[in-house]
Amino acid sequence: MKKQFVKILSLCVLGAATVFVSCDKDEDDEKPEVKTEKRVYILNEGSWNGNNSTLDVYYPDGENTYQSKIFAAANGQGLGDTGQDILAYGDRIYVSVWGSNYLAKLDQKGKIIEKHEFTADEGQPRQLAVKDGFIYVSTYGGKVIKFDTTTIATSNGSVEVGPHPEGICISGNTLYATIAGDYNVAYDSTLAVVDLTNFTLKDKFVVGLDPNIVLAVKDELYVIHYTDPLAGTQEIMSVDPTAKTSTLFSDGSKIATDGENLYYVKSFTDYSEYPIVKTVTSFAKKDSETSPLDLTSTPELSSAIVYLFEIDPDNGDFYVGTTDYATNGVIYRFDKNGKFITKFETSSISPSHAAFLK
Amino acid sequence: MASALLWAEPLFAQSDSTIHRDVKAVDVEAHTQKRQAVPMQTMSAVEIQQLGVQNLADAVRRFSGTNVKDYGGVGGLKTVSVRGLGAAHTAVSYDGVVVSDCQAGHIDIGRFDIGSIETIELTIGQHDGLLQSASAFAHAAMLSISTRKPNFAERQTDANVRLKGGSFGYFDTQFEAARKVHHSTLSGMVQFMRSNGDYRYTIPNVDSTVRGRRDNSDIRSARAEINLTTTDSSRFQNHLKAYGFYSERGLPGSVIFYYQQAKERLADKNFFVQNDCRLRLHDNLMLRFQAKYNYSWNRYEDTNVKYTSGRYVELNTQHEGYLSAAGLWSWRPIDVALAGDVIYNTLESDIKDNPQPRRLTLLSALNVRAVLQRFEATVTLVARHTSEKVEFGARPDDLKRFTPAFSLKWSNNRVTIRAMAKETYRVPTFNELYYTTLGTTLLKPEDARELNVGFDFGTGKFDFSADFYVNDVDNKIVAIPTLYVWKMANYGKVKIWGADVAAGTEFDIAEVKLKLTANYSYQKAIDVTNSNSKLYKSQIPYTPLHSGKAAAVATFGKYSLSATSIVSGKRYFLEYNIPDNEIEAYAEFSATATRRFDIGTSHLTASLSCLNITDNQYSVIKYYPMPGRQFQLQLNFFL
Repeated sequence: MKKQFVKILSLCVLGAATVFVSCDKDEDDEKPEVKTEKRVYILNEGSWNGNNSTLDVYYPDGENTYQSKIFAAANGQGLGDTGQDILAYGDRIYVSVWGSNYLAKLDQKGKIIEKHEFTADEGQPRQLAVKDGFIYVSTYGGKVIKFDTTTIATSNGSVEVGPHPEGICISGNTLYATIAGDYNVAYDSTLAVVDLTNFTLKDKFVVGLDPNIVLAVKDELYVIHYTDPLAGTQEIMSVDPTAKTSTLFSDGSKIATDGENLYYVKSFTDYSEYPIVKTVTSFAKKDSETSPLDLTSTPELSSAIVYLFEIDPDNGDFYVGTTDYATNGVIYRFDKNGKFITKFETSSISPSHAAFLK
Repeated sequence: MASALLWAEPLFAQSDSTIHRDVKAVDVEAHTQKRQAVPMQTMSAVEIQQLGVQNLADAVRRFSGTNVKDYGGVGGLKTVSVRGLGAAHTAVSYDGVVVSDCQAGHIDIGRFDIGSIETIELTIGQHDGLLQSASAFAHAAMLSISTRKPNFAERQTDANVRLKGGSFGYFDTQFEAARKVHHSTLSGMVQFMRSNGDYRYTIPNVDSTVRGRRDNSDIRSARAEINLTTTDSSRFQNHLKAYGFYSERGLPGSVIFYYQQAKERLADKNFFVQNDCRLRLHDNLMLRFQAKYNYSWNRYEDTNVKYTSGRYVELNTQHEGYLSAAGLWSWRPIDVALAGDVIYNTLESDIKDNPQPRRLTLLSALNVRAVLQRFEATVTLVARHTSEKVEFGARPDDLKRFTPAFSLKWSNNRVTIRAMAKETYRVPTFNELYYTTLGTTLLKPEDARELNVGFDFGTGKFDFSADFYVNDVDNKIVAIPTLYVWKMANYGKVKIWGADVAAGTEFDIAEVKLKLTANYSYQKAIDVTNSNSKLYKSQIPYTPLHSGKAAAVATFGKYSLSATSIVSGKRYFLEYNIPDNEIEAYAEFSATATRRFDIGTSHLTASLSCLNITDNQYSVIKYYPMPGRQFQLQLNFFL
């Protein structure tokens, strides 16, 4: 069974959470056809080889209702194994499912409109980004693959970026992909720069060992990488793609933006004192001394593992999802001033990403 | 040991009656299958054939209190855990010598062929026989496999040929021959097996059904054995065995919805030579010496674009040297046995950062038994010293442990009442200590405590037994998921309460002999690690609260017919006990018809089996479906 552990490595790798929210400024290019109330889609990863990834939806403006497993309800079948990333574009939802190896376009109820199954050569899908009617997917085949949102059945070409690209993000006309290289003899440590005008690899430079998340905040670029992958320690680097430099900003495990500011989470678990396992979690805002979230009503968050950290681009609400890798996840919602609003349990293990549909 | 004594029995029976009585007095329990101070279950070659038992795992899962984790198909991993204790707590012995795998810890019992087995014996706690290696006392349970012994009743040469074929491209052939030379018997066997394993399955998926065919599930294997047994009256007997095994198989992996691309392959080689020698120096003194050299090798390969070279290959080689000496002194009413083992294990691996560990284990066991009329009390003390060396990096501290066991028995002609308490532990495996990113050398052994009370009642026509137990597991070795990787840790306490009840009866209706057996197991195994956790008091994964087995065999002259069933209640495949994590209850039914044909002094048996008659689509391990309905024909020719 030891083989499982090798595979699990890949599963436990962090995803780029907030890429599309912040990077894409073009969401209003396409007007939603049906506009009801706002929805927040929550993607639960599930457990490895459990075929128990699920999609839930939360209506923040309504009666605070939460619908579990909407994908299963709409399609009569489950999402499959390990939902990896989700984003909303136009009035459609796009979801990449790593284990089950597909990208799907869903309607608002979660019903599949179209599906792309990745070939062995393309590799299994990881993270998503969108711009100007095109979805970009990083894959285990060492590629970023481009799909036209009008039909995702076949790809519109791909770019080789390096072994095991993970987080991707678009800023202006440039796509950034972190190259983690998990299955190499040694980890990679570069950021690939793809010019979207001609969809070619323009540049590649070192940002830090095993980079996993990349996020653009206005004209700034941030990358999270592992300082010690085995200890799970991570730090946030401030990256200058023009000078090709990367400087330490802070330790941190998740980043998100409301479009203006950088918010980050430090959620680290210390396994060095076996068998005592201790998690310490805190929230921070760049250039601010105080925590952006008031944890008075939710003290348990300061010792919970944060697996999801997203900001509603519309009103600045914070969504924090926790995991224990065994029981169903919990989502905490705070308003933009950090005041606790509500919390709810998700329908499976490890909620990892959210998508906001206005 | 028990198995060894079984084959020793006819030998000693032929010898001087006084000596025989003495020897028998020492190990009288070995001859009566039940009536032990600990729960023990057996299955013979005859039962194996009559019941249409497929493989060793299929035999063991018919015992009560066992939980066989079966990943499905001929090549799928099969491990046995007993009464809620992990698989590494159960030792497996092959013709008297304990089999080990320091890398994985558990033994894949699917690897042993059922065709050449004479008896399978499962003992919980430890066997009543005292003249055993120290290793035999160092586990929570023992599965003893004894291979078929030649029958020289008719002539000096014994031979048999077996052909077996069935669904999903299964074919198995075996040839055995033995020759008697003076006081020695030389025997040899070869076996070849293949299977496509491409059975169809259906798995429910919300309101729909996933239909598929097991892919990359094929296996080929070859095995050869040479045995030389020598006996010199009642004073000396020796069993020398050489064993070679090769297999190459696909690993189909778990069923992932909407995507199947299993490319993993595993090749195994195993070779060992072992010697088991018994000497009776004096009426009151018996000695036993065991020696073994074991070589095992495996090669794992995966093909996926995610690897830089498109392929990942891993090679592992293990060597083991094993020496054991045991002595048994009998001064009725006291018997004293002392055993000492020296075991040396190495692992060479090209896994990243593997420190090429070497482990030296010294084990000793002292047993003192008092027999007073109908009472028998035994005290056992096992001592271990384990030390490890590595080429680089950290190594675990030396391990020094003493563990006790105690058993008490009262018996008369029909009834045995027993009680047993035993403390054991399992040493962390090389994978748990050193495997890249996963292992940690800080691991302590996983502790297990067993308490059992029970009784047997038997008249020959009717047998009944009931056992009640409480087990505790502490410092459980588990993989804890972290942000990035899984890490091994001693994290967990499990409390297990259970009951195993078994009944059997034999009677005749006219010319037909009927034998009915059934057992039922109750097992509550709950996580008591952390009272603040959502998982507190949840039933541990893959442990049904209720399970049972039943079998009926009718024999009339040269014919026999059997029907068997295995029933398991719902289980959870994850720690969290919610309906989403349930695995459905199942019942599997099988039937076998056997006929014997006499051809002069030779005979042939032919068996036709229908397994999983109802084509029940169930799985033992979630998303590792078991085969549906299948047929098998077996021909066995005995010279």
